[in-house]
Amino acid sequence: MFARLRTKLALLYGGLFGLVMIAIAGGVYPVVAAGSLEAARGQLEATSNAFQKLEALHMSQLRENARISATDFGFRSAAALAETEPETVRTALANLRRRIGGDIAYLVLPGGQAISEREAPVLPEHLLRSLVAEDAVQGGLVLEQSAYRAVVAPVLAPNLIGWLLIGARLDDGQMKELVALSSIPIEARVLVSRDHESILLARSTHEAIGTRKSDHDIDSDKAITETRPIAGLDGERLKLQLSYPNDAALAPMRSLMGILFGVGLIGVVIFGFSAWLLARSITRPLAALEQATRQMEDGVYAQVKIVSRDEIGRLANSFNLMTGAIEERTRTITHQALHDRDTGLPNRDHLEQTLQSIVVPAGHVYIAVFGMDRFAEIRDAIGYRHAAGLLAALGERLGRRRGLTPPARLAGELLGIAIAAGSDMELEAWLAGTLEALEQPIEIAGQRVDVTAKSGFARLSEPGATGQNAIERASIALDQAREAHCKVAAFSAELYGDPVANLSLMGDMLKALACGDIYLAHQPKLNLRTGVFDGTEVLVRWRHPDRGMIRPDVFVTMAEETGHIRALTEWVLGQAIKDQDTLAAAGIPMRVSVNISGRLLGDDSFEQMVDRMAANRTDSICFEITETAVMNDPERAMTQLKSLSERGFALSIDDYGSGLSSLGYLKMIPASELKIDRNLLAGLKTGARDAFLLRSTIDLGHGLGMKVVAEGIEDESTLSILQGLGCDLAQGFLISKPVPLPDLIRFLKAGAWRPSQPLKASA
Amino acid sequence: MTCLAMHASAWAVDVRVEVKAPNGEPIANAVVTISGPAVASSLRSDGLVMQQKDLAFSPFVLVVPRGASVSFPNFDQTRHHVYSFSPAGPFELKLYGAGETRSVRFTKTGTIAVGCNIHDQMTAFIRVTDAPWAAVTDKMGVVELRNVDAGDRLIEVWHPQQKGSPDATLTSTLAVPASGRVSKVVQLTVRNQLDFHPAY
Repeated sequence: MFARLRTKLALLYGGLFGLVMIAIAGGVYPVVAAGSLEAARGQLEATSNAFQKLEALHMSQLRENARISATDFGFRSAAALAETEPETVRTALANLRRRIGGDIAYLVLPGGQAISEREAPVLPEHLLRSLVAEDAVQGGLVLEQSAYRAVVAPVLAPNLIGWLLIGARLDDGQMKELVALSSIPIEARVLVSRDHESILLARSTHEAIGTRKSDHDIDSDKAITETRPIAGLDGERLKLQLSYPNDAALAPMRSLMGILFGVGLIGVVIFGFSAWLLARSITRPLAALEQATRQMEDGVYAQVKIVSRDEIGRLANSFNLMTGAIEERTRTITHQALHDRDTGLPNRDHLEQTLQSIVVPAGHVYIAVFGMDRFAEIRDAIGYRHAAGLLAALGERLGRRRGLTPPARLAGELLGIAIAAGSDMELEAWLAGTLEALEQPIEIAGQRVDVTAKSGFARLSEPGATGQNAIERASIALDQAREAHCKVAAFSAELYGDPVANLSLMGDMLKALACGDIYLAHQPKLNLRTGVFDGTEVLVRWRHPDRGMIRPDVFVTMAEETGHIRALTEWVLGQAIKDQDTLAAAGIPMRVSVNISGRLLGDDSFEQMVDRMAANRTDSICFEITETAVMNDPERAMTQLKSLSERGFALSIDDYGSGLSSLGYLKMIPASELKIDRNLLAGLKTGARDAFLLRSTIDLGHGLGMKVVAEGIEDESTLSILQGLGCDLAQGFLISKPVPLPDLIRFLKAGAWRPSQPLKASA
Repeated sequence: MTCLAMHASAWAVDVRVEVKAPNGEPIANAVVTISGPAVASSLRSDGLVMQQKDLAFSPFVLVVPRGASVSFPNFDQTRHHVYSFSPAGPFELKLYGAGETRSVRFTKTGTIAVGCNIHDQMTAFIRVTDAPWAAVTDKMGVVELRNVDAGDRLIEVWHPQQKGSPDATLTSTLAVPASGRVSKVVQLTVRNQLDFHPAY
């Protein structure tokens, strides 16, 4: 419910304390309440007793006064005149009343008549009868809603001539005096009961005199009451009622409860706050741990402050140990990930990462890549371990040259570094100096090793350049330097081409094969002996919809390098067979020569392809291969060539004399045709040496049982020379450039090619 | 007086009256009078004494004929202030000392309640009557009235502590024969004497 531990604990402990306090209050309340009520009741009782004693005292004083008055000679003499001079008696009664401080005075004659002051209340009839019957002596009396204590004394003169009744009012003042006796502010009332009602006669409060209350109200439980009957002079049921409101009685208890409540409240706050503090002392370290854990997720290894030695402190300590261990491990892993294991130098990733954060105020940033010459040989000579040591030493030297980054081992023997330089010139000077430093003799395992190196560089501060491709370009630049046999080379995009475009070109090529953008061109072979065209060489052509004609050496080489050469060859072979059929249908049956890439030689799938597609025309298909193609894997290539030859396919050695020609291979290849490279024809007209070399070659071919084909013939003199030298077949623009099949058919149907000079019948 | 003596021998008898409480106890100090037509009083009219002795009146009840004088001799060592407020004959004999005496003539019939103003406990009653025969009961509650003439007579009984009006009497008739003796018992209710005593 509450996400925070401290809130939970604070509420729990505060709440528990609150419950305990409520339980205490619940236990204390009835006891204290009963005690308070009991104390109040005791006060009422004491006051009631005091009233009784006071009342008895008052009564006896009054009675004494009455007795003395009744026996006063003067009064008696006046009283004796009651029947004849009642006015005298009245004044005598008034005098007597004032003398004794009473409130009422009556003389009741034995006949039942009462004489009193004129304004005095009239005595009730039944009271008079009681007096005459001598039943009433003393007690409470109610006259006109006033209560009196009254006494009756006989007037003897000396015989009984009447009764003197005198009384003093039980008034509010006396009630107040009575209340003043109590230590607690009680209320006092004098009431008279009549017909189940109590009529208020005197009180210490402000209630209206004469208020009638039902007995039920009198005994209500809103107040503690103590009621004491006051004996009536004439059967009146007077009573003194003392009361103390429950509210007032319980007031001390209420203040106690208030104190309890206050203490409880303070306790709840203190407990809650303490629990909150306690919880905070727990949750703060936990929160710190949690934060440290989060930070660890982000790779920040913060140590948690240990503030206590309890479980949490130990947890924090363990956490710190764990954090340290993880940090150490992470550092190791990171180091391993960014460093070369053999040399300890930073690796390519390290360099790339570092490049992201370098800032160069002015000039350019370059990536330079250094490569040792003949590293493989040196490595083989001194062993891998020392070769790594050699690289490390070179790295150290490079590091002293103060690049923008530490030197990194990119791959093999390549070391890379970023340098700031104002221009290519400035950089090249720096590189020259660096190479000189690197090429100082190095002592490895007690042996002096001479090292030469080259360097390539590329600009990093160039639009579109990233660390990654700058390193690549610098590496390529190194390759270009090596190819150009120079010490330093800048990256040349022209030399390198566009590998990304090339890749997309291969995708286009596969589509072009399907849609006809790639097609076959035919270049017929003229039989110099017969003057007829007895074969045609198919050459693949590609008219790209966007890029126009694409040179065969470009896309064929690319197909070889990207593994698409087999698909291309398959298509060419299939198309050649179709074209051969077309030619045959046109009445021109003709042998077709197909160029085979060296990549396919020795590949079993190629042989299967041939078997599948051309098994029934082994005598009319010729495969043209180059010597260098055989040289990649001579054994396998030779085996396959033999196999093809044995099946009846004709083989032609293409471009003979253009590369490294090996007589050994020439001897072994079961070819029936030898095509002389056009380079051999270049100096034919001017140099005797060339003519001699050509003749020897033709003779060699003939000697080995092969027909000799000359290609690239562009003029008639060359043709005639070749014819003179005994060349068997000729190809070239002079005769026919490579043309699409319909053009070839048209060309061939137009009639035999006629040279300006007739060909010699024999050579 | 000679006439009375003459009648007593020939036509008169003695009447004995006994006054009792309902419970049978004798009531002393009751005044019993027998009245008759035009007969001269047989009561003494001289030498009537209500003495003060030992802080008390004596006798407690005295019956006298109308017109008689009663003397109040003081035999105590203290002075007394004898008075009566009774309408039948109020008087006041202011303080007089030992050995002195005062006299009062009572001219109306009725009851004279006598007291001493300085000694409240001193009380006595003088009954003034016109009746020819009257006497006060003794401790046994008995009176002997001598030489009562024969004929139908009225007997009245009065007591200081009787219920009702102080002057009222309990009246009954009595046929007095010409000879022999007559006895009569009268029942009377009186208040407890203590209730009336000034010592109350």
